[in-house]
Amino acid sequence: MIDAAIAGLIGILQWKALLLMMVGIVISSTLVAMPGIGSKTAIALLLPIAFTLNQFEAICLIMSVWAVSNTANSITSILFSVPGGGGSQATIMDGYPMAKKGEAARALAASFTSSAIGGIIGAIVLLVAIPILRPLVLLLGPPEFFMLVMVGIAMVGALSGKAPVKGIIAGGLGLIISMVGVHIITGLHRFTFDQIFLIDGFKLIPVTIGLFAIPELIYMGVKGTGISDLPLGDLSKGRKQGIQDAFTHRWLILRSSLIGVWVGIIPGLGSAVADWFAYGSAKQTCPGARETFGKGDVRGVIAVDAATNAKEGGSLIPTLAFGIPGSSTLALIFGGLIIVGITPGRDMLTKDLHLTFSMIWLLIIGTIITSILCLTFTRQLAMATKLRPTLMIPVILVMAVIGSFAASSRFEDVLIMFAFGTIGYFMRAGGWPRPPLLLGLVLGPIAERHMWTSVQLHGVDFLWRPGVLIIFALLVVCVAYPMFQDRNSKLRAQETES
Amino acid sequence: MSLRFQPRSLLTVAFILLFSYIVVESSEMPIQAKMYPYTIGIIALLLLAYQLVREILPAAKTETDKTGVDIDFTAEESSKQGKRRALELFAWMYGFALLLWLIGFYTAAPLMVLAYMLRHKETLVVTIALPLGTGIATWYIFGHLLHLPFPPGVLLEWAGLV
Repeated sequence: MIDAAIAGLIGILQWKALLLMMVGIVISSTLVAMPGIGSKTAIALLLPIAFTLNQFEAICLIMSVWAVSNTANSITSILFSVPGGGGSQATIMDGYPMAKKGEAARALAASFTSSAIGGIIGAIVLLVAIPILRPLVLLLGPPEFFMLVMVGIAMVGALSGKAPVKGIIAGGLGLIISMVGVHIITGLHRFTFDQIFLIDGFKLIPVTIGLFAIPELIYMGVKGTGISDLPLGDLSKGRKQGIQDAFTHRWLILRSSLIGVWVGIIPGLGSAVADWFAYGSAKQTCPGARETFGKGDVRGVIAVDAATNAKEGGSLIPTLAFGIPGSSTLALIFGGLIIVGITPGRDMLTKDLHLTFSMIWLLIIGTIITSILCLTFTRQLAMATKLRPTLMIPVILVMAVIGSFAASSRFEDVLIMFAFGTIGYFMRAGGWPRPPLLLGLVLGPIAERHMWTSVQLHGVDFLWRPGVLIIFALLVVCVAYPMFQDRNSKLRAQETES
Repeated sequence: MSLRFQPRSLLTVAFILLFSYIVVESSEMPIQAKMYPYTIGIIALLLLAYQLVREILPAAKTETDKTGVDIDFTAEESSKQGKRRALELFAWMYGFALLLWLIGFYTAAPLMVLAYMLRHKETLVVTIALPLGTGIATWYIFGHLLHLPFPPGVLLEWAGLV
């Protein structure tokens, strides 16, 4: 294990890998600071470049974008009350009031410092989890893995906000889309409509760019104004105070980080939940917080940012150990890893352990570098949010087209990207969550392979294996619990009204 | 009891048609190839039927369009003006796709950016610099350095210019 840890560190410290990590960090910090362009869009646009790289270099480029995205997210939340992404919504609660009080620099510094510490804690938990998970993973066979994949899709579906049924159906749609092309076992062309370009199936990159980048681009165009018209203010004061705040409230950071890791381990919950969990917990446990939270209390910022960054380490646990992406962004990364020949799942804890360690190192090094960069270039990063959509839309459109074409050098992929862009727009309009579709597309072939192997080995009796039944029970809980919770909150709201 | 069919239910109906096609089409396949789509298709159809009933029955509780985790559709986007702007952006997108097919990537990319700048009355410097930068990046980074085999465009091929 120590050899693997050293090999992983050496792998990402090679000059080209290190350079790509820096590129990823700068791109992520800049793009993610702009609302509408989340880490998913940034990763989707970088995926075509990844498959020209070796495994360590690809990990450095793709994962650095993801690992540091939550740090930069907070910039616009604090400065303009505009969340840069799902994980920075709760940062607004106290970060923006702090900015209004003239403490923007303090809030930003506290946010970046707690992000760095939270990220490190998340990575350490991931490191500790590996020896525990290795024997557990080896106990699981194809039936259990099939059921785990189903849990992953159902969880992301069921936890897709207020439309769990739609979420699960979207996951099913992704599974169906993944079936297009040649069936590996029989050689049959499934759902190809006699089109040659469909024999290879739908490529992940054009579908992802279409589903996520295009609807966000349209949103930007519809909004029609700059991201923020507010003045940037003085950012040079209070940085020192913010850093000190983070260390003063170290136990709050630890507590919030552990909440973040816990949320991250459960596939499908993601940043959007981790920040509110941590915020709620801090509000309940910090002395006097009930009076000061929401009015510009630095502890509200610290708790949220530590949790959202620690979550990343936690979400890597199911991704690497079981091949179930912990979030929709990780599903994208999952696709990127497959492109360069890395298969998340059992291998990541056995023969590819050095790659797992390289990711852990990257989480630690990446978060520290990003926090230092953000502290240094806060003002410059915030200015990127001032760009007009008329400048960004055509450039992003060109990048989306080239990215889709680059996946397999076929013009049809550009059309597929636009088609999925249209589908993504109408899915948003109809309240259909898109992440489960992507997850279904990524996990579809894995689920089918495990399902068929299970049937071959055990017949339909594979469904009665104890492991499968336990995981199935988990699936039922995952699907039923959010529905039950939603129903309860509606009932409570009705009671309050009456 | 009158049913209430909303435009957004069209997507649900489209999904029902899609999954029905999957189930019907896969029923002709050998067992190895049909088992998986068949299973997924039937489960999805059951869920879709439930979803459609929820959407069209007046007794059913109104479900908000907010999905919570995914980025929600805003009021701006739902407005008439928002839909018109979205339609215009779709026209730009598909127009760009047509242009790519007709005159190829090297010409279409900077041309689209130029047209977009002119349409939105950008400053002269930006109107010149951005299409130029896009053209150079497309040609040098993606064509020259990464060797992407961009198709030349049917019009240019037909005219014998490539």
